[in-house]
Amino acid sequence: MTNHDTTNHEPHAHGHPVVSWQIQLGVLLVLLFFTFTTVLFYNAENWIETAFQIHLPWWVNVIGAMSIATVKAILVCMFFMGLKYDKALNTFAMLFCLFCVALFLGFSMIDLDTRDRVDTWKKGEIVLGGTGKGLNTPSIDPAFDSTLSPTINTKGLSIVEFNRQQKIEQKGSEKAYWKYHYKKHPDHRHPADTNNYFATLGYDHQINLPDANKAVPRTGLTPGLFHATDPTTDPTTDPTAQADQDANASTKAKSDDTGKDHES
Amino acid sequence: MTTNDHAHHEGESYFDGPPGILAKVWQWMSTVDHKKIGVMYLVAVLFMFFLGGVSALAVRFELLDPVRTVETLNEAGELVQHTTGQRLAPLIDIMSAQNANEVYNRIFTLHGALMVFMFIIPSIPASLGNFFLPIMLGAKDVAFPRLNLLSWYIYVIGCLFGVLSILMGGVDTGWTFYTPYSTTTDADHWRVILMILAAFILGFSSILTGMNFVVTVHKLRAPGMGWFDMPLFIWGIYATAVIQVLATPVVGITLLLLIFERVMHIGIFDPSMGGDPVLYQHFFWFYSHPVVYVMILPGMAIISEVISVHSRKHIFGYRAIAFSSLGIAGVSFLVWGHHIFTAMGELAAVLFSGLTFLVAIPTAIKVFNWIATLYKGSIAINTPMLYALVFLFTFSIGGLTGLPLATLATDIHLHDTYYVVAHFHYTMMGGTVMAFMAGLHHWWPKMFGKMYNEKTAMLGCIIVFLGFNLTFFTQFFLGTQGMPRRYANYVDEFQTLHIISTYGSWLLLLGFLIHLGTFIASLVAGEKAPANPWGGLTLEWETESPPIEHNFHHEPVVTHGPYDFETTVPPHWDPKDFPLPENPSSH
Amino acid sequence: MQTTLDADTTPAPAHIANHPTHWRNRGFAAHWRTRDDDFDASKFGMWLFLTTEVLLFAGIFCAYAVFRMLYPEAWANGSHHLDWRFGALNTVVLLISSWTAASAVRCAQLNKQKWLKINLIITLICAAAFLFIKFKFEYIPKLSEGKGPGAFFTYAFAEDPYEVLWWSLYYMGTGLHALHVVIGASLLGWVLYRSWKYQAYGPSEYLMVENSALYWHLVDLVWIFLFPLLYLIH
Repeated sequence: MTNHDTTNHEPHAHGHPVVSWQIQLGVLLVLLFFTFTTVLFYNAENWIETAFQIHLPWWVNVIGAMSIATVKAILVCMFFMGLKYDKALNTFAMLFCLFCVALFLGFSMIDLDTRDRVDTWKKGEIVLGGTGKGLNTPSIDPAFDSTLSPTINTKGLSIVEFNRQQKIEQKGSEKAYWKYHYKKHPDHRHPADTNNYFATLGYDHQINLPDANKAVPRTGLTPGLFHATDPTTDPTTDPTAQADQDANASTKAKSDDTGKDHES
Repeated sequence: MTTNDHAHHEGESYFDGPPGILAKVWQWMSTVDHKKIGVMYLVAVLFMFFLGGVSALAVRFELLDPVRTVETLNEAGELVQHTTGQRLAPLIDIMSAQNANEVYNRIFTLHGALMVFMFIIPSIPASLGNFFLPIMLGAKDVAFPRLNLLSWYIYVIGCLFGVLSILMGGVDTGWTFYTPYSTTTDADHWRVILMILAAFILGFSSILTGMNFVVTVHKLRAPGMGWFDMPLFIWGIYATAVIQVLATPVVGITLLLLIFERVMHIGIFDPSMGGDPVLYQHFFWFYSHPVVYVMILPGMAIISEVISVHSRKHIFGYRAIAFSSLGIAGVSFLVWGHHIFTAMGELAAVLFSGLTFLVAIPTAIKVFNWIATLYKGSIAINTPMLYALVFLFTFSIGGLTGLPLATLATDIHLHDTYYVVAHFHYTMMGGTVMAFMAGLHHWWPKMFGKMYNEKTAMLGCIIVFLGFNLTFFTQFFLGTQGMPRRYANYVDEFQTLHIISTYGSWLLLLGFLIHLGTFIASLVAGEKAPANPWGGLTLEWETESPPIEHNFHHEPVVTHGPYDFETTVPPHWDPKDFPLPENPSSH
Repeated sequence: MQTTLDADTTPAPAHIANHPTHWRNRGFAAHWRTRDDDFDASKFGMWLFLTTEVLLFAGIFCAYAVFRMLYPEAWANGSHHLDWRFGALNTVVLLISSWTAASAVRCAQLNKQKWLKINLIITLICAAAFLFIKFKFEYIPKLSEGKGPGAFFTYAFAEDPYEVLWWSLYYMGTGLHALHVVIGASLLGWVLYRSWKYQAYGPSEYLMVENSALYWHLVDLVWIFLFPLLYLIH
């Protein structure tokens, strides 16, 4: 059902505001002027660069162009779209929306700009672009356990190694220790198992099937997000070439049974 | 607008219509009545919940045991190996997948996509919100009834695209469609693109519903109802609608860019061309984090109503709850990076971590207010109240377990483990679904004019509660011990917990089947419901059960607040049955 | 300031004036108390929809901002391939069309039916001109030189390895914008048709004109930002 205006005081005392043609034409001329200005600004920048051989910083172009665009947008919103004469709620809706856009762009750019940044107080442990340790390098590194607990004297061993030695003493022999370990983690040889108790105890007969547990490692850096040099322990690999190669490569099943350290 | 109500006179419920099956079907297909649209959405989302639940049962079934390679002797006495534990292997041929892992991947993606896009986002707003928002405001309909119908049809089309993708075998990218896998997998393009398009189309439905609700709340309140006289259900739905309007377009452009990345290889998510796959995650989570608040805010809105009515007590801290709804909506836009901690730069990670802690504050305010409402209330023990209490328990666990995920150091260990899975199931299922159940039972008599069997419903609630906790509490331990999510296979030590979790899922199935039986029995043979079975004070309890076509006989004028239980006899109640205290405390 | 009460009261020709679609004869939806409530609510709804369009384009602007930050040379090189004069011409065309759209709303408000139609026609001509300039002088020449998006980028003389990203975003941004130009023009075309056939819009019934014009202004707003970002990078 539709309603029709039943009372005879419709249209009521105040009609809707009508923007005059003078204002509309005036706004158009101002907009055209600003378009001319922004093009002039661009050409002036080019001329300054070529004539005086100075390189203007990037923000001159961006801030100049965006300020003029913002002024034009505000004029369109206020006069052509009528926000000046309209309920404040509509303006609020658009402003809140623009705030959300600013959040979106702002935080995303913060991440993309500082993706490779390492805080100075962590510089000792974390290296730009990764430490370059591959799956084959043992993960026991004294550098990671350099700050020892004041109550334990590990006699120079890393805390991980120290605990392992304690457990070996508790079990009686190294073989007993590894037997205890491999009972719980039979899939792969532990990197610290240098005497290959993995084979001696009979755990190495399993066939390695590709399954969801084994993630395919990818190395290399996305250009633009990280700087070119990447200190790796293996000087033969070129990380940037690796990145270009690996990025779109299909999954290659890599069976690698000196896998990650499963101690957890 | 024209409605097709010329045939019947006032006083008949919205269910009654023209005689003849074809005429009835056409009436429902072309209706602009928010109640009918709400009921259609309700049936659809419950169906999608069922489908998503079946895929969840399949996921849990696979996880009963890990994949093992077993050596046995065959008849000839030779040592042979075969693989056990791949319980979904029979589906490999049906889905034309390569191996059982791919089948598993497709099924959990199906579970996620169905549950997130087709069930939980529309669930409460589109069904209960559509039905009760106008009635609670005292209006005849939402602001744009035809747009409402369009929303419904867009939802149906989106679901059809999704179903089409599923029928073609489904996708295995996960419901989050992370690049670079989603842009490179499946040389046969159509499945992934169809699923992405389904999500894109469903987004439009969400946006239009959100727009409708925002304008309705601003413009269609009854005379005498200011902003702070509205029921808190409205505040929750309003905050939800604001998020839907602002956040959903971003996932629209994200999915569009994803499709173009697949089809045209535009390169913005491809590292070999200089793009960044994590940029996709920023785009995706800018929507998907606010959307989890789209999921929970309506649930919280229901809880405010149910707790107040069923403890017959004025809600504690009305303005706090109202503003915290808006606060959650606002802060939800600031925190999306906490889904990407392990892939982001440090500075951004620190910023997002700090902001994420903020969002716990308005949420906690609500929980404390609900508990304070219960205190010294006259608590009725019925299904809505039971579900509200379940909600308080399970949602609090969900919320608190979000804190280790918001903390950078612990998130490194917990990211992409079962801890996250348990966390979001406790908030989404232990939160939204429990609240949805509470709301369904609370408003069922009003919507359909029939009471349901309270005993079987309470039994269903208890079984659902037990099943839910069995299923998901174990997963916290699985996660802290290192079980990764989305893995079909796992190390032996996790098996016990996985078995418990699967048994819990079967209990959940039983509980929901009991509820389904209760609802069907109610529709078929339930006793007729009075207009106000629970003694509520909001405007929907003034109408008949079920309401007439235009909701009210005369435009309602609001003379009391929505929770003034101490000073007002509820509509349709005999004052003898509702003694008011002599000295009402002031609120 | 003028209001709709100052509208021209000349009655319409007889064969139109009695048609139920004529603006004087149209009612408003039953669930609203007053016509003004209907109008204000629908306009607010339109503004909400415009915010969703802004957020849609925000994705493109975000990708643009991120990659301009990462690959400034690629962006500068790519921008130099575009001719700023066509961009400026398109900007002028859209600004004029925005003016005529706002003017059309004004004419509906004041019951100037003839000028309403003329303004709408000019707006549509500008839309067509925009698309014509875009396709004939920008898209087709660029594509024939191999400067296409993503997999279609076959330009042999690109100076920067990431220039393909620039072209992808150029086509995505301007393509999405062109799609919105088509949608906006369709809306305005519909308004023109109804206006022509029934004089469906007038001082008390110009919501459709207002909402279509708002959509058109949004299309113009997006171009106001796209133009300097794409064409005026030095």
